Amino acid sequence: MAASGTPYSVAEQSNFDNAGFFRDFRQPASVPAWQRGASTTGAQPYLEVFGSTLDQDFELDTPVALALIPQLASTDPDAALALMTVLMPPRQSLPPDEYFNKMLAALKDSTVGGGNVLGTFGASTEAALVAAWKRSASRHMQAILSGDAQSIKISPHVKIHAHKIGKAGDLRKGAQLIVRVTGLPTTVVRKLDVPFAIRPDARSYAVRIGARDVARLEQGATAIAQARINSSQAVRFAKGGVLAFAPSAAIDFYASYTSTSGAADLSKDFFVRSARSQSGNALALGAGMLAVAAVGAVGAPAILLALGTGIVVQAAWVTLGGDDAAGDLVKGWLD
Amino acid sequence: MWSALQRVEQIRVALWGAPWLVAAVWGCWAALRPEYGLAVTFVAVLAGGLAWLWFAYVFFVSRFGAAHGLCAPGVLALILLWPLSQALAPALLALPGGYIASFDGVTLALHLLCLGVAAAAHARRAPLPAVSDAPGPRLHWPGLEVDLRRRSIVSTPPPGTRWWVGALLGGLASVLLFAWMKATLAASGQVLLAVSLMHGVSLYLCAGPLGRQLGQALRLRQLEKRLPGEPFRHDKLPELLRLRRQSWLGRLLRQLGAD
Repeated sequence: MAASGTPYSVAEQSNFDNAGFFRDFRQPASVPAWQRGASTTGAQPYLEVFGSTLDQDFELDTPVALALIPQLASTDPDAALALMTVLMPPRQSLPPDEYFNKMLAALKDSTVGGGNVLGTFGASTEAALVAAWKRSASRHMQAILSGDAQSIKISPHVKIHAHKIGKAGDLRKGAQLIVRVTGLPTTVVRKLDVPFAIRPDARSYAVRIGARDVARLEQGATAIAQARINSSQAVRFAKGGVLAFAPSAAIDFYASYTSTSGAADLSKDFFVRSARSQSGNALALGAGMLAVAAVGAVGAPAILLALGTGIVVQAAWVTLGGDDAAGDLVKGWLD
Repeated sequence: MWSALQRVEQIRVALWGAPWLVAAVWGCWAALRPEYGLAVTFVAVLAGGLAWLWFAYVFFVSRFGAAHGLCAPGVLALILLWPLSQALAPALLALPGGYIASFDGVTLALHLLCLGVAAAAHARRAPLPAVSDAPGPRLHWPGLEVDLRRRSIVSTPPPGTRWWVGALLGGLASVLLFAWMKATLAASGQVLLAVSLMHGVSLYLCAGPLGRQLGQALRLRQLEKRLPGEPFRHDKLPELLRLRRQSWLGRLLRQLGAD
């Protein structure tokens, strides 16, 4: 980790003052992140936590990335994921796919596992999300390694520069990636010998951290996952999807409840009615997206085209008896 | 596909997804017109196959220059926008066979006329430098910049959000709107609204973005004739070339070519 640039601001000086403490919490760079279990991390009895900003250049090694990722995850999960990805080259110790799979496995449990909101999406959405993240991260990495970009901006505070990587992507001697951090809001953590301490300027406070074993990579992955859940467009659209599809479900449920078939057949009736209405809804959504992709629309024309296509497809589905066919199909399965 | 290469990954979705939609729409079109005597399956397979060929050309061959701009608006209007607008018309109007054909013809002519008029109007807004002038390094047209030195075109402004965001928003809105239509309108009312809405959207696209692409492609062709040399190409073409190389179909074709 190499610092550069003078004179230093107050924030930078603070970072330098705390650099020694900061380093104490990191694993040696020689140990790949995914091989570190909780038990390999040194136990820390008391930690002091305070806010600061980070303004420095670093060699993009494992400890630096692991310290940055949780900070970045709260403001820009995509950037954090990209940072985790570019951490790999040019000194990768695992093939790219294997690295990705290990990283995504860590992310997956807290984002698309069975016990959370996203879990209800189902396997296809999970695969789509994972593929999208992977593509997004790969794009950043490929741009810099192929020499297409000498630097990539992954957030307002973080840029990655290629050092001694040629235009054609050839790695010269001493090739490395440099991460340039400017004004990144950072939480500084340092070890204390006593449980509580008050700093002379009274601006910082000390807290006792209960978790003694901190697996930084897992922490980073969890932070990213949580941030993604809060900021992901997919999740927002999932909520939108619930709002869009729920009225049909509510109407179907009410119709089933009040139908003459009686309460004994309530669930069966509901499933048949849902197959009739939701099949058209799902088709409309898919057709709208395909039409937009076909025409290459963006912005307002894309929204209008998807809207018009969706309405036409649903009207056609009803007119041609597709809804009844879907309902009869489900009824046949249930009988 | 207009605004050439705004999002490269969108083309792959179009290649493998859009032919299914085209096949379904044309199948629906044929199913509601038994007087034409066309087998629904035949029409659907033919339309889907032709659509796949078009998108295969876009994905594997096109340079997204003038030639692409001249073809794309008309092709998209013919294979997708017009049938989407007109497919359900027989369910709305109980017209005899001959009248349906006339109605189809009139609406198709209306779409193409709209596209042509819009192209002429947009071409006027994309001026070429006078013949006597020494050509400047760049031409600034609405939504497009032409770099005469590098012989490339750049779409402006660059896209800001992911391509599927608008599509998903529109799709979700259509679900809500149709739920409202089902609750308040009879079946004929639903079809009437659907047909009217899609005709409106389709004509808006022909008059707006598609017409603009056609008009600017005409200008670009004039420019190519005036400044002989390599045809103009989109500045994102290298990105697409990389995608072409990586695609399994591209690899397969290269392998077959090598053998």
